[in-house]
Amino acid sequence: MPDAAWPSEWLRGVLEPCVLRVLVEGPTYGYAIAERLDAAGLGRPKGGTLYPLLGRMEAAGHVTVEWRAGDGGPGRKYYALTAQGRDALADAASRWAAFTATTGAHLGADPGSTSSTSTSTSSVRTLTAVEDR
Amino acid sequence: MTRPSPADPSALAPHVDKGWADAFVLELRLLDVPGDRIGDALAEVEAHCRDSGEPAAEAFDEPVAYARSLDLPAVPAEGDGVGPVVLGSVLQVAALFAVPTAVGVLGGTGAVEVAGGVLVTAVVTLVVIALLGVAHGPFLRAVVHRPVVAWLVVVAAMVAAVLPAALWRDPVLALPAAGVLAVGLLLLIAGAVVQHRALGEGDPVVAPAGSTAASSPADPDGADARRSARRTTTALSLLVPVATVLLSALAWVTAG
Repeated sequence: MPDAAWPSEWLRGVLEPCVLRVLVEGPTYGYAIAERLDAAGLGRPKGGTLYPLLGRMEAAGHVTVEWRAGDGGPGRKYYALTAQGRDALADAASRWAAFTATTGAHLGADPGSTSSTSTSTSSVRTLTAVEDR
Repeated sequence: MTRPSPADPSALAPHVDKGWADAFVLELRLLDVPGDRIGDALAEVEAHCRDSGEPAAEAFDEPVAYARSLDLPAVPAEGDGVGPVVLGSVLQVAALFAVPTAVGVLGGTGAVEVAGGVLVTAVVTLVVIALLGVAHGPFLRAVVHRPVVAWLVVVAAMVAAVLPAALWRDPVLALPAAGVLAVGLLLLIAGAVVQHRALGEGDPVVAPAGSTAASSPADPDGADARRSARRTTTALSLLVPVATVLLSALAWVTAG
């Protein structure tokens, strides 16, 4: 099962492309977007985070909006991807892939492979051995 | 069961805590966001709270911070907003003093004697109203967030305006009553027209178009809300003219 409790500062950078990706499957409303992100393992963003972002995406021309009537009550605001939004998604997706590959390569590098790291590790061992006596 | 009036935002958002909705709408009003955009933002909060079952305070945190984070475009009300409303008020307040005074002396000497203190009061009143027109945003914020301080400032301004008229009663000017009456009536009509135009049809918070089902008993397209707002602005525009007529009648009766 995916870990839904990602640090919020990680999500902040990638939330917009993730929302755009949800809208590729068709126009939908804010709460449904939050549910889909949750189902995708990204956690459910709070309304106070999601709607200001949707507003900025509308201002940027990445989405258009339309109110659709609900059953008897007030309806829901549907967001639809524009061609500009599609371009922004393609761009963000490739850049994000490059970014995660770069961070993955950096973080995945063997800590013992460089001489400076191995020196410091051995000095820690020495220190522990001294304290044990 | 009492239904909230069409102008009441809580009618648009039954699933949102009333206190939260009021604070949210008030902040957007202070930011000069138009009523239809406020209705749109509130309806989206309503839909989210209804769908998720979460209280607004949980999903959106603090209403003032959320209102600011939306970064909605500020558009002052129709025309130039506050400026013409203040100008209309100034003209009408001048008439409110001039017309009854002129009517009161029409039958007597035919001259309106203006005391020095009254002139000072008039100048102070105009300056206070002009300041309110320029700094209405900070003033309204102060009324909302620091009501006691705002109340003290208002009382101080009223004392500063009224005190000269009470203390300095020597006449410094004598004007023909007929002339004062004619000018006063002109100011009254001009002020009422300027103010009514500036107030326009009001700017009620309305549900977004297309958001309600055709069969919905609620107010489709905000027609009721707009009608109610129009009635309010008409009543506001008639306030000073009606007061002037009443005071003039009183002045006529007491002089005769």
